Amino acid sequence: MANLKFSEFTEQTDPANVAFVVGYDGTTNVRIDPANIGGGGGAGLFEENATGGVGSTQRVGFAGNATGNGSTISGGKYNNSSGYMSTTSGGYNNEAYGSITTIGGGYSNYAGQDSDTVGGGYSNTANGYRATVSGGQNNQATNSQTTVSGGVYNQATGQESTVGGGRSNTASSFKTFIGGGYNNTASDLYCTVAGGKSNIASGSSAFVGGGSYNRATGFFSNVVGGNSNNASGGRSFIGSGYANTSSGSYSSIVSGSYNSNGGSYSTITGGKYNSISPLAQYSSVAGDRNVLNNSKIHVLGSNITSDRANTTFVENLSIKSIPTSAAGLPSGSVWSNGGILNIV
Amino acid sequence: MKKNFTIHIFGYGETQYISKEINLKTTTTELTAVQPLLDAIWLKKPEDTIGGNVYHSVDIFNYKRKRWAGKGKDEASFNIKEDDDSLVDLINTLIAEIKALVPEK
Repeated sequence: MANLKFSEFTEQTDPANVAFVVGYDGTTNVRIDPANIGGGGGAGLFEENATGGVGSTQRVGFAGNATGNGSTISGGKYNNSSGYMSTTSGGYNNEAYGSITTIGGGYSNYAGQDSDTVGGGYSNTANGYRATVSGGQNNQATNSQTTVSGGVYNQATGQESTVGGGRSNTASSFKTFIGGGYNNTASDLYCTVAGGKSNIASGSSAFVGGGSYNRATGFFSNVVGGNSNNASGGRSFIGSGYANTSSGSYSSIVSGSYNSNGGSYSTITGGKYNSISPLAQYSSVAGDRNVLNNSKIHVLGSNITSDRANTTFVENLSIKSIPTSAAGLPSGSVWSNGGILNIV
Repeated sequence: MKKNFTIHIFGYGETQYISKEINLKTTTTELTAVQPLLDAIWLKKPEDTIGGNVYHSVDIFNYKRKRWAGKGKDEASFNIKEDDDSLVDLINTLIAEIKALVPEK
């Protein structure tokens, strides 16, 4: 058999300068006239108007269709560029359907509307105006100026919304953001879920930092972390803990579990099973199983139920240091006179 | 003429319609046309599809592409890419119902 090796070439870019393109059919060296590549009949390596689009270009790519006017397919297989000035650079079974859309590569990606871009990955869809899916799998950017950077089954469907990564996250309202995590939802204006699992930010401008199964449903509400917490009051806050509910406006729960704060401007700093009713505005509590029903009260201890407003309730008060004379003390101060409590 | 729109039917209970003219999201229970469309898409799943029909989201792009994304690994996920005239009427019915919810300017 003849020598089958060939390794030295002078590169050409115009098929008109090439008499034959050489190759190997598994048995012997072969050659073909460039005019016969691409199905013959005059099709070439670099063919203008390859499949009907005026000014379209289709390079060596196999079985693709550049049908949009001014569209391009640079390579790959079974790609379609049907949108005006659309481009598919490579990959397999991709479709640049909208005008001026771009698909870099990957498998079974779709760029459906004006100026959409899919960088690569698998089965990603950009179907909004100027939407972008950079990569990953089964991601969707379907509204104007939306972005999904990566991950799996993520959706950016609100205008100008973004999902960074993770899995099964949905940013479905205007200017919402999800950083990552799993199964998170940002569904009202300007909401953010940074990460975690199964968190929901559904109040306008609400925020969930992380944790799991947390919900920030009030406007401007916040849940930093923990799990199964619910900040439903407007501008309410939960730092962490478990199964806490902050439903009063401007209410807060720092941590703990099973606490409930319905009092506006009221705070639970921690503990368990504390309850501030909506009647207990401007109040605070630390401890466990306390019940606050009156406004402007403060509770330190356990198992205390308030019965009057403007009062501080304590359990087993122990004063470690106390003045022993009234000299210089303002009105209302307490001091010890030989072990007897006095009030100035 | 190309139709440019997207419909998302989210598993968490909202449905969103996105087009150049309208971007509207509403609770799915308000829309009577959703369930018939879901049923029709489910019937057109590929024969080798396995898993249940609880969905994370069902998405429709420009009539021609439908995606059923299962909620979790035990639920079915599949794509339908073909133009399908039998679904166009159901899609249009849903779109009309959604458009009727848009407040007049």
